[in-house]
Amino acid sequence: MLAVVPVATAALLAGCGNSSSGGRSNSDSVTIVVSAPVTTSPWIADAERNGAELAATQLNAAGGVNYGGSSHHVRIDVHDNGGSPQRVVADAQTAVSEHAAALIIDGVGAKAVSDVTDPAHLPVFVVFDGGASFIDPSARPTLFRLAPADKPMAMRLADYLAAGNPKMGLITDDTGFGTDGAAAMKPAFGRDKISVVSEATVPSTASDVSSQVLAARRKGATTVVVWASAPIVAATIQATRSTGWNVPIWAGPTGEDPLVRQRLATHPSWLDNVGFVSFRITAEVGPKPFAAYRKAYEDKYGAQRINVKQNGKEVVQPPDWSMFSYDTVNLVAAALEKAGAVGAPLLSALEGKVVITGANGDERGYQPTTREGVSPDDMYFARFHGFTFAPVTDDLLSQNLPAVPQTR
Amino acid sequence: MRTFAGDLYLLVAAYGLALPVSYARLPVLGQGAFVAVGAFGTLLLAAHGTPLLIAVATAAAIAAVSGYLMGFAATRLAGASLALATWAVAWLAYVVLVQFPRVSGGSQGLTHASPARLLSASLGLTVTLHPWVHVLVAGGISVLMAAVLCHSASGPWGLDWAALRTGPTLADSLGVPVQRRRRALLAASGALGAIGGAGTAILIGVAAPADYSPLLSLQLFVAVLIGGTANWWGPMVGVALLAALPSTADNLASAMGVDALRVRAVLTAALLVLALVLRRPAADVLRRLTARWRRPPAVTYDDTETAAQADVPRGATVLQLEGVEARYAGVIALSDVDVSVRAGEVHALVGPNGSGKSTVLRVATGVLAPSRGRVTMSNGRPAPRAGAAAPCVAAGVVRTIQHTALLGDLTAGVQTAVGARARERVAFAGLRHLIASPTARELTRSRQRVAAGALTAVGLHQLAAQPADRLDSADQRLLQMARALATGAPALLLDEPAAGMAATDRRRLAEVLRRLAGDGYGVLFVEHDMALVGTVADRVTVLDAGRVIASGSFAEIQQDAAVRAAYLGEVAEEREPTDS
Amino acid sequence: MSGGVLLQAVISGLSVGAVYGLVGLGFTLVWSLTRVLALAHGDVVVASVLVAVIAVVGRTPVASSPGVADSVLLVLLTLAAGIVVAVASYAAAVRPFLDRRHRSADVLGWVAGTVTTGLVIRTALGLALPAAAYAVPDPLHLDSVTASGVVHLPGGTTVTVRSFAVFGVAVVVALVIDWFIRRSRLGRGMRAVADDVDAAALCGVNVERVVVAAFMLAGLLAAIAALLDSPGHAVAVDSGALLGLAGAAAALLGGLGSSRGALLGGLALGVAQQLIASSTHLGASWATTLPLVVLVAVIAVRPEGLGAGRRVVVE
Repeated sequence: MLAVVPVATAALLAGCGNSSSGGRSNSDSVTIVVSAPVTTSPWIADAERNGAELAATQLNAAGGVNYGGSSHHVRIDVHDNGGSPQRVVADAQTAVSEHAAALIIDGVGAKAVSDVTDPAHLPVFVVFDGGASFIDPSARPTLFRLAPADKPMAMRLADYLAAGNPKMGLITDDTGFGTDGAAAMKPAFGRDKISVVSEATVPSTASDVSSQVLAARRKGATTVVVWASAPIVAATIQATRSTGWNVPIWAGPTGEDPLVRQRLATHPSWLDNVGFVSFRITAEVGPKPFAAYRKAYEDKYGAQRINVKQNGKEVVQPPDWSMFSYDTVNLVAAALEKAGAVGAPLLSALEGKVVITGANGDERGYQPTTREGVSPDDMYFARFHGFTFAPVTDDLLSQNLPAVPQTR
Repeated sequence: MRTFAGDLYLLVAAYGLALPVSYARLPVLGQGAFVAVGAFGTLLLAAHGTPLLIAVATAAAIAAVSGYLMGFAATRLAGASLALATWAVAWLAYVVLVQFPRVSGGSQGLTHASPARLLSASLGLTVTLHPWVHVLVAGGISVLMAAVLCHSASGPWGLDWAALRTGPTLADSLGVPVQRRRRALLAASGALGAIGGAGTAILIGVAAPADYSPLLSLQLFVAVLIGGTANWWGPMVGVALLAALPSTADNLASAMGVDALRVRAVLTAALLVLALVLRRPAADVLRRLTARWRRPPAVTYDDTETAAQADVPRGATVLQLEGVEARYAGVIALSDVDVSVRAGEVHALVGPNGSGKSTVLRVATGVLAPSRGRVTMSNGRPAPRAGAAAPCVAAGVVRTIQHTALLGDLTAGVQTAVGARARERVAFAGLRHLIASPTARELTRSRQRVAAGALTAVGLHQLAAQPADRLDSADQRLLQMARALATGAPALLLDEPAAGMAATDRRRLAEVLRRLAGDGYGVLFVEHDMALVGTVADRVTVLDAGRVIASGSFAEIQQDAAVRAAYLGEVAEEREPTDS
Repeated sequence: MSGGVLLQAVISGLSVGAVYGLVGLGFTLVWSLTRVLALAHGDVVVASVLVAVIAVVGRTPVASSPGVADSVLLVLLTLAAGIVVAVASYAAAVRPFLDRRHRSADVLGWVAGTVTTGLVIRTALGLALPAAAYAVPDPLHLDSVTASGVVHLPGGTTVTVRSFAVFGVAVVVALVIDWFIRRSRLGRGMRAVADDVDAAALCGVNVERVVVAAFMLAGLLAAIAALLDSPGHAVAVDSGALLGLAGAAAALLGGLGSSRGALLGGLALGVAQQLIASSTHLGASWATTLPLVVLVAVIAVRPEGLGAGRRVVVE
């Protein structure tokens, strides 16, 4: 009967196996479910869950969330979705059955969850994926995004580069990010009458993109845009600079990925004239809000080392992506205090009635008909100076932003 | 409810995979590809306006055809190559889905409204597919599959599968159409995998590449392995374990005081390995514990049974090789060989190691095509050139293979019944058996009569109910002969039937061989033991270096100078290197 | 495609292909001796270098040029890790499913065993290295041979120094292995076991030792491939599975059991892949799927590979 023993044991254990940061799940607590790709993309999952848990810890330390006449302890319930939309849907079901206030996802499964969350009036927040295909206020009223969308980011980059009247060499890769980016960039370049002299899609596993870079150089490109995963961004910079071609290179938000600098660790000069478009880490109000957030984050989770040095000091990566799940939890908490109940009242409070100040000092909130929480004006351009980056000075929306300290 | 329905669809796919893996022992690592065909096929068709049920049926049909085609490739594949091929297919399906988002919808996948609705305009009917409907459908299919497998075990399918999983060479030598059965199993496996995939996709309303990574294929494969060999309940146990793995890993992690989510993947992988390692010991313990509840087989035979008789006229030629030349990879193994076997005689084939004795048997049973010369079967027709033995069995020539090969722990009676299948000429016998049609019941009775006759002919009728692995080695050799006899072929080719037998057993064997000749069979046997040859053989053919150097009665052979020369120095006989 | 780009694609293809060839060489070696397909072999490649990197430079590696001591340590540890992981995977996932003659007995067993071993390796590495991809230091200092790490070709194209080194070293290693198998005592033992295990055992060859040596050699080749190749690009923890299948495709292209064939097959596959990747009509997606398509196609046509003349009779 030995074979039956593990079955029975496993069946016994099956019912009770979720990780949650708060222990209590009684009536005076409020749950926010986080569905993250813990096993498949831990680097995304970490930002997603750390931000949410940090916000919950701070809210609980300040007495919880007050609504419906009592104070509620915030409970973050983290589930692993393994990058699978089917499991995200299952997590959404769990959230509905737990009467959770909100569901936070990285973006996988966004298209599919609304069949579950719309009838239940459960707000869903996408905090990582910038893809264009799923945000649709009329078809998916419960789906919000609190992360930079790729399309306006690409358009902002096109507008910014148009001033120099460049000839563009475009390199993308075969990941979803690269494919979506290419689809967004081409019309943007067309609108700004930027001529694209060469475009190439490379395998995301490629180690050498020098033939694509050479093609761009031969066609007379004066600017190279690489919209691809971090390894391809690094390979593009390497292929360009190693041949002595000091063309300006612009990347998407993957440009700030530590991997790019880790790959180019022995050649800091190759990063000169490399920039990227991303969401801003600081706002016009000054560096203080982000500094406070950053201190709390790094006290709890430690700083993210890159393991390269600038002027003898160690370079660290600011915890920027985690701000979105952090802001989401705070926004939901504020909306709950306004609405007084989860479900439809909360959803309606989120639609234009609540605005909070986010971790970077920006205002976070939604209009009744919008579902994008990061406006195109919140996107900025940064340029590397050695292994650290700072906002550019020739863009109106970037030049007034304080730079974030990146060495220690 | 939804999770349960999803697990049940996984079970449907596992039942599909169990057909080739657990019933035919084919290492198929690509079930995830079929599941993906079902999921994406259904959602793509539905997105283009195909009614849902038709979309599912179409996707299942596509998967069945792909499985059937994979079966064609599998005809040439030894076990290891099939594993590599199917593992590559699992990866190929996944990589294509990831690389071509136009087909797969990219990381967001293809979506479908959930819960789905079935609309019938003509009936004015709308059925909403709530999770409980899915539980009924998937549960129904699983229960049906379990019932089919349980009931088939004793029927034509079960007998053929038992031969298949022991080894294709053996199954082929008993007349089982190996390739047709494999293709059918793979096609059914593909269809069930696709139905499982389609069901899950409709249930949840989305299918994305991440759900069909090779990990799915691996998990299904391990689940089926854990379920054991040819158990109708095997997939249930396997999938139950699989479904429980993540939470078991989580509990293990919290017991160890580490972050459950972070270590879940590695713990799940480790538990899979553990399950693999434990499957054999666990199965042994289970078998020992359940031995006392297992029903003894209903059929036993007694002395009153009549021994099998060959139905050809005495003295007719049942096998003839004329001027046969055969090559292995260009090297000539036989040249200008003439051998004939007549009904009612025992013909011995002797010769030193490597002289081509086994090759003669391989040519005579169609496994090796002769490069020159003619082979004529019992039915007077030339040997079918198929590279397989099964058509020759139908044409009246059957052989036993050199090493003892049992069909697992099946009883001697059942093992002999596998051979008896070869003479059945009923279409869809397996399906008829499932619905217990009168034809099938008659067929079962006649099969039992044939098996009884064959066992009687070799003197094993009293051991019919014994599991074959508990017989002694001499009885196992005789059982092999009984299996061959049951096929009804009048030409009986035996490759070293006395190997490993003690003197008393050899005497028994000699009696059996004489009796078979007396009952009208033509026996051709390869043997080294000259005493045995002298006792039983009516005629002896001596081979040396691929040529016939002498043929005649044993006495004539003994006088032959060429034979003496060939045997000079042949003192210590080694077994020939295995030829199968 | 211009001449210069073509030349470049061919040279970088030869370098990619040489890595496939080295992986395929280990694959074919294991197969000849045991009739087992080492389905976790690609993961051994990735594991060998990442284990050494974690041990020497920690969990946040960068593509640096380490000092002499670290370089030597990295090289030795990578080779050792390759050997240890390969032998451990043999002990855990292959040995239990071989018969007395050290030949494949329980196909279902080792198939499941090797595939799950690959999974265990990937997930265990993922536990220590959670990021999407890692930069690996260059203990062989191939990037420092020229100032920018590239060589200029006629026609304005460039190729990394690494490409030449990977190709050159792989060819030399393959020749050495070939020589080793033909000339050395252990190598002759391997050939004897591969040809006829029973006869080899009768002649006093210690089959167990020869088989373990074959796995060690395969692990060593995997580690060499990893040392040469991985500093040239970002390494993802789970990239071993596809690399292993590309190695299998290389081995099959050259005919299973042939060490020269494995290298030639790898080179052909690598060049074809790079040409497809740089062609404007086909592009990245087709290049990524190519090794798998080749693998499936070759097995369907010739189960033992193109180079092998023999046809397999059922089992």
